[in-house]
Amino acid sequence: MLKVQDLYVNYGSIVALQGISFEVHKGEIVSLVGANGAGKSTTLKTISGLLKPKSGKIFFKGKAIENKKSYTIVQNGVVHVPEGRQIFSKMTVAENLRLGGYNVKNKAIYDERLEKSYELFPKLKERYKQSAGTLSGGEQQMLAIARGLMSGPELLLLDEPSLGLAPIVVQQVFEVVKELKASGITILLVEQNAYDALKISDRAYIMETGKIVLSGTGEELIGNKDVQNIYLGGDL
Amino acid sequence: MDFFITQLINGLKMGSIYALVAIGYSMVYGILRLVNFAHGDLMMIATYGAWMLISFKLPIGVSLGGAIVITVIFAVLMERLAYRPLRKGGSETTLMASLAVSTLLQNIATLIFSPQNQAFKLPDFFSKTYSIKGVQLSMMNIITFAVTIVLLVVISLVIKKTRAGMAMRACSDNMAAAQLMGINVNNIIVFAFSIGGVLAATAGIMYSGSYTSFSPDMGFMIGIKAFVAAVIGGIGSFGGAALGGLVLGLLEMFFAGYLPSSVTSYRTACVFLILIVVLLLKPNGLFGKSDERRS
Repeated sequence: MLKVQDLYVNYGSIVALQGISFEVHKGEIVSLVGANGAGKSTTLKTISGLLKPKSGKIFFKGKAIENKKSYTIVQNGVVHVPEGRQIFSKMTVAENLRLGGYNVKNKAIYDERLEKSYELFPKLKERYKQSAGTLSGGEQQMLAIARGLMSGPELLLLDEPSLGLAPIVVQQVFEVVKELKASGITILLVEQNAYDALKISDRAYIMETGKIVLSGTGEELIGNKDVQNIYLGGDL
Repeated sequence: MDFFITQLINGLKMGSIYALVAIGYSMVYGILRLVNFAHGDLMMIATYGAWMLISFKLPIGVSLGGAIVITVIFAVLMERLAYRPLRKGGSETTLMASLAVSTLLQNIATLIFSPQNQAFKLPDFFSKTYSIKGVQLSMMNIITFAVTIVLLVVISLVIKKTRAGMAMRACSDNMAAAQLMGINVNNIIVFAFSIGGVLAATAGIMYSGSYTSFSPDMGFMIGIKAFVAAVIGGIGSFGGAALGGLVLGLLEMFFAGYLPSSVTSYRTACVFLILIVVLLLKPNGLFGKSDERRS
């Protein structure tokens, strides 16, 4: 479904990605795991068009998208839920969701998705009139995901959805990610919380300083001694 | 008492002009963090446009409408040709560019027309005056108030209720996230410049219609004062800009009317004094909330 080929990205004079290649197949959860600054968020931003690559290709369903604008990439079905939620904090919960479905012209489809979002996250329905900045961290993350779902993604790019959340909320977030997979959405997940991410992933790639250094199924990587030592905090 | 009411009317009129111009400043700043110093010069372009079209003997409605269209074209062109290519350079770069655009527009007008003040004459209908208990109320005043109120209501509805208005608020709340929603940010920026153009053009025509003279640099100082009004109200906020404009117009006119004539020639200085005092007491402006900048 998504194929990244030899992708190089610069941030000003800093080389952020040095030729990474990976694939995500339909229906999978694939994780990018690695330390801060490894280039995980950069990878997602480049796929969603916020950053332009220096060289390399990105194919979504066979079509090259690396030079497309963000707003067309969204319309093609690739939705990026950014790090740090990035909700519209001065606007209401309902308006945030409305913006998520900005390009949905069909009212029936829009209403159906809104209904689904409220079903998945009942808290949002209770608070739909509230300004989004007043929600708790966990609720904001739920809103960010719900907002992403409003445009009907085929591929969801989730950047650090568990960042800064209480442990119990982190578990809820991972439950939601599994539910999304069950509903047929393909997911590319970026996480520092490596253990939880690998546990729910079909496959994963380990990144270090802009390169992919290791790949395998979630289970294989959890069992890998190097991965355990570096990313999973030693012996399990 | 009559004098008080006369100054009140003058203050509200000047305040309406400032408010309309301030909203344009504020909207563009909200989205791009750009202080567009060429915004005031759009008033000048509208006036020259109207003056030319009227001199072609076109009907007054067509002339004024045409002047607004011309102004919007200039507003969109300055974004497209000057600010968009420089956007990656940061807000200092576009700020300098806006001063350059302002100077350029004034000099082009000087070159084509002349640096002299010229008379701006609308049809007699506009200069009718009514005298109510000794207070003079001109047709131009009535039109200015009515047009301002209608525009404020319409624009606030557009911002609150329409899809484009919501996208505009989203862009000023969080530009990167707005892109991820599938919003074509460039279109929204053009939309903001266009609305700003309509408001500045209307304000410019009403201002010149009231004071019956115009020159290439007419928009600059009013523009700066309208910018002050936007900052006083809390830049980035629609209501703040409108109220800031009214407050500033009223204070300026009462200052000019009630203080001894030896100091009234400093009324522009008084505007900036008000700015300094407001910013000392409320750094985010009267109606501004603390600004959580985009990361």
